[in-house]
Amino acid sequence: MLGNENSKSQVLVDMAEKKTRYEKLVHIYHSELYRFAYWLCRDPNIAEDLVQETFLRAWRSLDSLLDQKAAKPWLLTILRRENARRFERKQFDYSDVENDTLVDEKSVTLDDEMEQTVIQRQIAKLPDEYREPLLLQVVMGCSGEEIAEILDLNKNTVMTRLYRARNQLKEALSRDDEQLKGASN
Amino acid sequence: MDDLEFRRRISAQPNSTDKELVEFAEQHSERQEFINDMQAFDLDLANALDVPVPAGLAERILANTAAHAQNESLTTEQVNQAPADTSAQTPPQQKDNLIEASTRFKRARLPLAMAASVLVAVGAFLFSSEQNVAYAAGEHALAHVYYEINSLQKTEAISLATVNEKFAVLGGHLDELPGKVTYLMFCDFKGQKGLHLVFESDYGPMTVFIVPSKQQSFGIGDNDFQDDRFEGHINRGADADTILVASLGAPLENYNDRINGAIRWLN
Repeated sequence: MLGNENSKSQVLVDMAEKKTRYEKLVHIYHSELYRFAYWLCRDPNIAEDLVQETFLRAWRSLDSLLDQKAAKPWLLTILRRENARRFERKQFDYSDVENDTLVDEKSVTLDDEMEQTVIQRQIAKLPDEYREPLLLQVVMGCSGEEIAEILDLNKNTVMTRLYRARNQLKEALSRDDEQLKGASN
Repeated sequence: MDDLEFRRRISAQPNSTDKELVEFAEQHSERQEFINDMQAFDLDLANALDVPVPAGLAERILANTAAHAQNESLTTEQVNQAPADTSAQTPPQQKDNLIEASTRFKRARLPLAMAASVLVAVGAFLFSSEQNVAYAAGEHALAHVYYEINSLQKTEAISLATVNEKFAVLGGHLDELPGKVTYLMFCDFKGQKGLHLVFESDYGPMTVFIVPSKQQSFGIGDNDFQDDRFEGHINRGADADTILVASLGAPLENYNDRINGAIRWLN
């Protein structure tokens, strides 16, 4: 009976530790994961659902995360799987980024805002295979190795895609620029 | 390595600190310029991708998990109870299960109450950090550091030239920084656009906010502030306020002097 009480209090201690670990993960990664999810689906509501579901699954299998340093790729893998499930369940309509209201409270000048909208539109147009590694690198701060692991590609392929992603963006943006100049002439 | 490969590798990783790349770039100013261009482009990308995160998201995630965990622990206890029931009495009745469930619920109230009180505390913290009008400058600075806490984990170097490209927008220039810059962003400080950067020091990552003093974003409160993790100092200048936030115990004064001595205003 006494042993039972002890094991019960041990369970409570383990539970409290798990909770602390979990809360830390939520606080550290929720913003980045939300942004990553947002750029995968380009819908604030779906993005929040994805992040919620990701953390719920993370809570359920937190014991399988042995190394806290591996938390980021681990969470990203869960989130990507959740996103894929979404397509299995139902094909959502994609909203065009041009119709979205992306209000970024951090930018204050009109120039900045315009420039950001132009860049956002071009990022949205990138093929998935280029956009995703770029998001992992720029939004999530993942290294080449981490991206390779998450996307299950070899590192050279990741590097090539990152190069092409930026190249395509640069080209598209300079085309935009020329069109703008042409229009104002 | 030839120039083509160099460009491919920098385009793939503009902030790479790979020795081979750095040495190759040093041989030619054009190559260095290419790195600066790509790093500036990356900052534009990062700013464009930095969509606002809905307020209270962390709080909602924790609430959602607490609710699910509660339901799940109820179900698990019922399941665990089942074999004991069968051994004690022949075929388990559904009625018994119902009674079990309701007694379990009573026992589950304590953790539920604890979860609820944690949520209230988290909510109170989030709520207080959103009232960004009247509370003191130090709290505002700390809230901002916590809001972008990931900024302290970045490791890739951002060149001083890239920093100055951004800083020039505010009319300033930095001669040097006391460490490798790893984070650079324009941020909103109570309606005033300011520079948010993080550099690596011997005492861990330090955050610097340089915010033009026009709007008096850091107008109210003591110059020195701290909580149980960070401490900071506000240097109120004629052109801008410079706020330095470091881990508790770092020699703030020394770094503060070096940073403020390196800022020049171009007007």
